[in-house]
Amino acid sequence: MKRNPSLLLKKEIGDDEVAKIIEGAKHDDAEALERLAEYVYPRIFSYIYYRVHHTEDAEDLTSEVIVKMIKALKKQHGHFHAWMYKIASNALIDFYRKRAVRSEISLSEMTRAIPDTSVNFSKQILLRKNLKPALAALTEEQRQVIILKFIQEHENEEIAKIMGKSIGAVKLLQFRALKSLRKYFERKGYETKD
Amino acid sequence: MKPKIEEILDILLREVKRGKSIEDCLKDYPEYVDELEPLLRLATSLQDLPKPEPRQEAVVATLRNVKDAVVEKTQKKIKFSLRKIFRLQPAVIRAVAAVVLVVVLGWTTVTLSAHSLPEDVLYPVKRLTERIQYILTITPEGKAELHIVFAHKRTDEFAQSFEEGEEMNRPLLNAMLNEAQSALKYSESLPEERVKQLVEKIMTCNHHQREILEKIKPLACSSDSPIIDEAINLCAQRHRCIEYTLNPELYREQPSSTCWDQCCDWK
Repeated sequence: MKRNPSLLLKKEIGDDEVAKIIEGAKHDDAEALERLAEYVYPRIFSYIYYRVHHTEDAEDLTSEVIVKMIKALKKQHGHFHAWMYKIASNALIDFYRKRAVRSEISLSEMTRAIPDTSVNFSKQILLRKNLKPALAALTEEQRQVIILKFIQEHENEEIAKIMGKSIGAVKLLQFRALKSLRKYFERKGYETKD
Repeated sequence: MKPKIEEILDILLREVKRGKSIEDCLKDYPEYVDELEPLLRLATSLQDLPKPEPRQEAVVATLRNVKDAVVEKTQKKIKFSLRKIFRLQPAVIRAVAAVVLVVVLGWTTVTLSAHSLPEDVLYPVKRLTERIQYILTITPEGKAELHIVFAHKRTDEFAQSFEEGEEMNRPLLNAMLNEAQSALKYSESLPEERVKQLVEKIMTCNHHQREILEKIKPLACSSDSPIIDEAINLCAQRHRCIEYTLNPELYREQPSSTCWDQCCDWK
């Protein structure tokens, strides 16, 4: 898998610059639109990646979400990231509706990826592929908190805005999500202690 | 009041993120060690996961899709603007259409009037166009040239009018002779080198007028004959004046009637 240096660099962009890019993109500035696409790509991709089975599906959906965003950018108001993840969530709902694949089915498919052994597999958690079925076992809100907090490393305040919840509710969801994940890994025979 | 467990977890997560060890963090909350330690380790493992990365070609394809979307957006914008002009501003459209209509109608009328005769409806348009053309011409040379052109036109109209009605049109006769006379008067104010060229043109015009008059004379009614004779005589006098102006050396003495003011007026 090749790394895309331009996308990684965009992670270093500050909030002020992001605001400027968004403003420029809203005025159809071609360069700003391209930079915005580069900025949102890794965020949307990792948001979708853990919710679909194939990487190709994640790439296609990411592309679809970004194009939708660009087309609807003028209508955007309020918190940008909340708006962005809302479009991504809707795209995921459409994705599963079109394929008539319910999350339970995808969970059963994805569970097969984990070896059913009772060996101490603390390092196995580090394997991305094992996280997908584990996340699929969570509720949608718990899954969203885990991705936004630990994969995308957003602060609680921002997660609260994105999810439309209070910070206290986000903390509670975070606690419950980690607990559920731990239970899942224990059930599957993985130990989370080193 | 004792903080809730989810609050404590959040505090500890922040401390671990800042670099504190899990063991050190939990020292302040010994009663929660069993419950929170595995959660903190799990959270750390999640944060340490390598970030998922798309393939380069997928990113390139997306950027291409974005560019296409931008182009499509711009085209829609242009289409919308045009639609806006045509739908939302009928006043502008009406004004433009009115101007175009006036220009087209005007141009058509002027073109059709070019070959009209005095009895035609469009003849006043023809004369008005000539008048405007004359007013817009500033230089004496340009005005003299226009008088010659108008003299030719009136002469042709005079001949055509006679052919169609077999009657002499007196106003046209006056007009053709007076236009030539005006051209001669304007030529006096020109520089010497330009006078010769202009006078040659007047001579051609005068010759043309005399020919037309001589053709008409036998066909005209007896009451018109004296006037035609008089006009032919004037043309002959003008011819002598012009010849003397062009070649004074051919004349031993100046002809008695070589001054425009004395002999070239047509009344």
